Amino acid sequence: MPLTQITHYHRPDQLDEAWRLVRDGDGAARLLGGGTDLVVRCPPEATALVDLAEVGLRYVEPAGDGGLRIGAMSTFTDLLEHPEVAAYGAGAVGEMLAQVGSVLHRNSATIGGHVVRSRLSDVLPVLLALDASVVVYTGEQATWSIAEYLDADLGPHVVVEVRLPPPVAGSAAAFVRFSRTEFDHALVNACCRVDLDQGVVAGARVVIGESVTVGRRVPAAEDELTGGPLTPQTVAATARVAREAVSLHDDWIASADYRNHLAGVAVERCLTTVTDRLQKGGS
Amino acid sequence: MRVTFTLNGRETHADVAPGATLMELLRGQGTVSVKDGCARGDCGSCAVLLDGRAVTACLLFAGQVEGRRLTTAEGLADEVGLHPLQQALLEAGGVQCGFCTPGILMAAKELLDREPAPTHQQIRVGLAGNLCRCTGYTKIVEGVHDAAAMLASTRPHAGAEGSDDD
Ligand SMILES: Cc1cc2nc3c(=O)[nH]c(=O)nc-3n(C[C@H](O)[C@H](O)[C@H](O)COP(=O)(O)OP(=O)(O)OC[C@H]3O[C@@H](n4cnc5c(N)ncnc54)[C@H](O)[C@@H]3O)c2cc1C
Ligand code: FES
Ligand code: FES
Repeated sequence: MPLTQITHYHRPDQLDEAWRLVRDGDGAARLLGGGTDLVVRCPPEATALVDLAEVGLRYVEPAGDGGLRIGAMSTFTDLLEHPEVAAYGAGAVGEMLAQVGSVLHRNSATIGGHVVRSRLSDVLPVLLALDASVVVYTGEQATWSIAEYLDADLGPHVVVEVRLPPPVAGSAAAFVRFSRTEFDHALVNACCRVDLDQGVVAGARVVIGESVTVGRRVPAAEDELTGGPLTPQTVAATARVAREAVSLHDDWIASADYRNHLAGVAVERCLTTVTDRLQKGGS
Repeated sequence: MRVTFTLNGRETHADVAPGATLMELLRGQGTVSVKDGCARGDCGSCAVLLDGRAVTACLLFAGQVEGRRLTTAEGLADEVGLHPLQQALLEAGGVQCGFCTPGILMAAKELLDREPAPTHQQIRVGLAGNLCRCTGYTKIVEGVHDAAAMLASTRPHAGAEGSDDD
């Protein structure tokens, strides 16, 4: 069935024009990235689509600070095939992207559409662990940390870019997901990052996500890890703290107990991989 | 609204509702190899090539193909015969009811255009978005291996618009 409520389809070639269409549409105009979410979840009040394909947001470029600027219309395939993006975080980004949906879906889905959609996600835990930021346009540009962006209620806006900060020497990350089948949504996923300074954990990110939530940092686990060495013992202790600190949900697919258990296993596996990656030189 | 694109090598114009999906556009035009299995991206039976990349036609709006190049299973065979992928899938027993076959062909075509000699694992990953209720997948994977070998031993088959890796 066509979405019969849609009466207009716009293809602006300027960012500002796209923004004005959305701003003036008062909720009735919806930005269109890859469409993989919007086709099935178009809200009933939407009567116009604003396709961003011609606006020039499909790129990956070095940022002035040594990081990476990823245009919002970049597909997951674009990113998986981009050597620097896939290798970012000592390979954690590529590891995660290869597990998002299938190739059919990665060829269409955009990173911009994904961060706006902000639902069950393998991508957001990794962006959170890597301290990514989001550049939005509302007549002028503003940059938000991904954590602030996900918590903010921004109203209408265009996501222009996702930014990855300059890689830190002695840093590595890893991603793990558990799902019933390869193509199913994750029951639990996790991304951990460790910044080592002369053998001591100078910074840590432990992010756990699950179906229905987008991923949250677990400060108690990060504190447990920070300030000491990275050893199998500290990894196991951090996983235990993470498992006890999170409170995951219960449904017909998996009990909360099982999800919490998986969260601990995911953190332990991530940190074990991170240890290996750091021994090989990290990012 | 009017959408203009290249379908299997032919410039095509279609008048569609602004909220129509690409699957609705294509099936409405008689391109019935594009199957409506789930209409939500789960089964891959509607897969087509968009500028050489396999995508689900049910999760694209028709307007998203403006100015772009589409290939469907109709564009694989030519007057000389079946495309090696079609031939190999048939001979390997990778086609039973055939509902999933056009989508499998398009996902496999993208894979072989990118990776002419894929490993077993690369084939499995390349077809991970395509469900088949009949074959159990083994014969399909064998068929794609066989097609890769056929393509390697013969001159690349032109099909309706040649290779999609340009
Ligand atoms: C079959 C299937 C399997 C999936 N599997 C996974 C998985 O394994 N792991 C996972 O993490 N995710 C998965 N997903 C979710 C998927 O990654 C998202 O649907 C996709 O990333 C959304 O991106 P899009 O470009 O298609 O968004 P769209 O559908 O185009 O848009 C989504 C929302 O964002 C808005 N929007 C789009 N672009 C912008 C922009 N630049 N600025 C402002 N607003 C914008 C739209 O108006 C809409 O509200 C799956 C989805 C499907 C359909
Ligand atoms: S009909 Fe498109 S994926 Fe099932
Ligand atoms: S042959 Fe019947 S679904 Fe695949």
